[in-house]
Amino acid sequence: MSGMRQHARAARLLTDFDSSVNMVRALGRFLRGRDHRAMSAGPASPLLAGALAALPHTARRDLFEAMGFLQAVPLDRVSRLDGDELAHWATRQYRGERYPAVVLGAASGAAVHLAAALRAPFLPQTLLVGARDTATDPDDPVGAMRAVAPTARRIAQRNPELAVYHMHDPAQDRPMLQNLAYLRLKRLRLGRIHERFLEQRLAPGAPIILLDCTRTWRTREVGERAYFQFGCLGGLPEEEYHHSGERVAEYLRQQGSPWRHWDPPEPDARRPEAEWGFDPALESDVAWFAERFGHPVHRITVAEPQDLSPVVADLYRWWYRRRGLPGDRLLAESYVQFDPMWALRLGAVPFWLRFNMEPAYEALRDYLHATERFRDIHVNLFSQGLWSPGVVPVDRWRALAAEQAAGAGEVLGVDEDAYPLDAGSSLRYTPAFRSLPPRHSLPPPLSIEDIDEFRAQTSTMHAVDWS
Amino acid sequence: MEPSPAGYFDGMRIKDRVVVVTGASSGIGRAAALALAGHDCALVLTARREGALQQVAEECTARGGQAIVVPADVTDADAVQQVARQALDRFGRIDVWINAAAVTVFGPFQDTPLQDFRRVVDVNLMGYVHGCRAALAVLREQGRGVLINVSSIVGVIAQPYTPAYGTTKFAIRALSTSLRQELWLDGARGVKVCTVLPATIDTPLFQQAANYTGREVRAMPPVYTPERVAHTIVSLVRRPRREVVVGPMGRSLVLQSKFTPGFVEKLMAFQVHRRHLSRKHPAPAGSGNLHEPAAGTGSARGGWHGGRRTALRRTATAAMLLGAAVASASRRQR
Repeated sequence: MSGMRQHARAARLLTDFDSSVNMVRALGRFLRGRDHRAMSAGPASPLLAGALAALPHTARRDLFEAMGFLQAVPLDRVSRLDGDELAHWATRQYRGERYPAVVLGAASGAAVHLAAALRAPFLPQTLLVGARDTATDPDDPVGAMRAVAPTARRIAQRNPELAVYHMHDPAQDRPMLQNLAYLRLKRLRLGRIHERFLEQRLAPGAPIILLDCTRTWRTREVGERAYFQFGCLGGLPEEEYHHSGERVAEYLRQQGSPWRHWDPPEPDARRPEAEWGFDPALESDVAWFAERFGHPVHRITVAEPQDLSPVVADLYRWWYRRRGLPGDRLLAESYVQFDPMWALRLGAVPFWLRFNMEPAYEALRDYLHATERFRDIHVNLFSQGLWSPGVVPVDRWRALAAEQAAGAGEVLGVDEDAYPLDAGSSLRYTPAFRSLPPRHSLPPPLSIEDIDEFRAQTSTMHAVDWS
Repeated sequence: MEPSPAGYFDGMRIKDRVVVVTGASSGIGRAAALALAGHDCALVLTARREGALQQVAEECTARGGQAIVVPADVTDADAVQQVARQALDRFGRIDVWINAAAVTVFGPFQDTPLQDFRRVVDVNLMGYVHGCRAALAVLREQGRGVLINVSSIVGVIAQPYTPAYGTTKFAIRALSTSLRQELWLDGARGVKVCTVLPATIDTPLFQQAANYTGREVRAMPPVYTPERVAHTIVSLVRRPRREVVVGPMGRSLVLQSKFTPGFVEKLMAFQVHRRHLSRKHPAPAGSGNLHEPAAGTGSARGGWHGGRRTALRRTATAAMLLGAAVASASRRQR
């Protein structure tokens, strides 16, 4: 099979709104001097974004569901999935000759900016494949688990290097769940594709930065290396997914569901969280490779994916100031609407929000309270297609930005009337970033020694373990 | 029934014949029983579900036939012999024996539990063996009668994900052929063995199947009605033939497989992968009705709209033929 065809087939398997897919795409394009407009899935267009956001509420909701259908892979194809195709797709995003470092492991939008500063590619441990499923009731987790378990088992059986997590979250993923089952594939072995890439494309002695997120979740084993996870990191605490109360009942009523509570399968263990958690099984291969080829391994350990954001924000501020730039503009990006190119071109300090929910709001608030005031604060928000529990309204985000900014604080790139059903959101964020002044040329990359220097100055400030 | 001269048997009037039907609670067996009841036959109905059989018996009676119910699992040879004995006790003879009991399991070969594979072989093959032994003992003794085994076109062209079912359907054809040969060698010209090879039929088989594919099983189009198979079975009682395929698509595939077997094999694999198993409805793993009968009183049809689809196909074909005729006529006029 030709490389192009193989690449297209793998890209079709992946999901455009996945965190890891967007990290890879954003960095691949950044390293080629491009931005991450429209999640690197097409052209950005504020005009089209406006037209989509102006559609009636039900049409926008239908649009989100239709996107889920289009992103989903038919069951006959997904059951024959080959993990190497996905690894091949990821490595093909990076076309440079030799890279000075590589970031590898758990997903994090903050890590995109860390990798961009180092001019390093990111190789994800976890990738999302959406299996087409138009039959399962989003509020029947046991039914969903049973229906999808044979497919999850088959993928795991065909791919001994992968663990398969069927993640089912009727709170924040509801529109997508109408047509799609989330299968998150976690790489347990480095594998021949990644090994070859690192061997050929990593500069001699270049560091491997292993990103470890220790976040776990209650899960149920459905087969060898196949698991079911009900709920995920979002607006609801984990406990509420498993013992849902009045808030969930009210949410289900609003959504027109016949259910008033969720009755998930009994979990049998805590395992790495399907989307963000890091499975340490990958470590031994990384250590073996690093030792064999003489690459130092730097490990960054965070308890929550959001924990890396303050570190990277402070790193960028420190870096800008070292370059003589003010570093007084904060750009808060949410979920996959990040853009490493425009953060650097604007001289903006990137603060990644995991989503648009209460925990992300609190993380930004806490950071702004703890750090030196920014002159300008811009907040962009991802839209997931419904008012799921915990979504923070635009007004509160704007108020936070305005209160904390020494100059102007604003929400940008968001159609406030349509949010969080802003169907044009992904087409609008890069043009919105681009509309901000000023412009700077891209700086030379940071080295790992620069980061060590930054760490030496700030090591006690962050909830992150570097080793 | 009158044997033709020299002991040859060319078929029979259907009225008042004594017919044993296995798998009579649903699908093809049920449709065959009802069709024969419409010809005033005396029916001996057997399957696992007594409640479903009772309902079929009532429907048979309403159509003018007589029916007795003898619940049995065809995998039990003694139970099948008992069915034959009860038929003889009640009606004094057996004119026709129809083996139609069938179950199936969908799943990649390696993922299909061995006990499920074995169960399909037990029901679909050993069940027929038991039926043939019970039937032929009587038919040979009588010197006349018709034994009809329901196989499938997958007994000619195998399909993926149902190796157990396909194996049994091939075996049924071999069993029928072998029995025909023995009867011929023995000079038992009055006893006929026929095999029916239906294409996709609108029966509950697909919903009730054991399934380990992870995908919902659909009836692969084109879908024909079970009444169409029943009609063929009735015609075989009147005029026995060795093998009869039901459904034009089935006939076309069987014919094509003689000339381009490799192509047809791949075509069948592709069609099953893409159209027999849903691409958007996942399905939990389960053993279906293999080890326990399905709940309810059963039905001949499975809700796959075989009748409606057949009507649509016929209308479309008629419209095409009419269009071609009109075009041809207008060209000649010019």
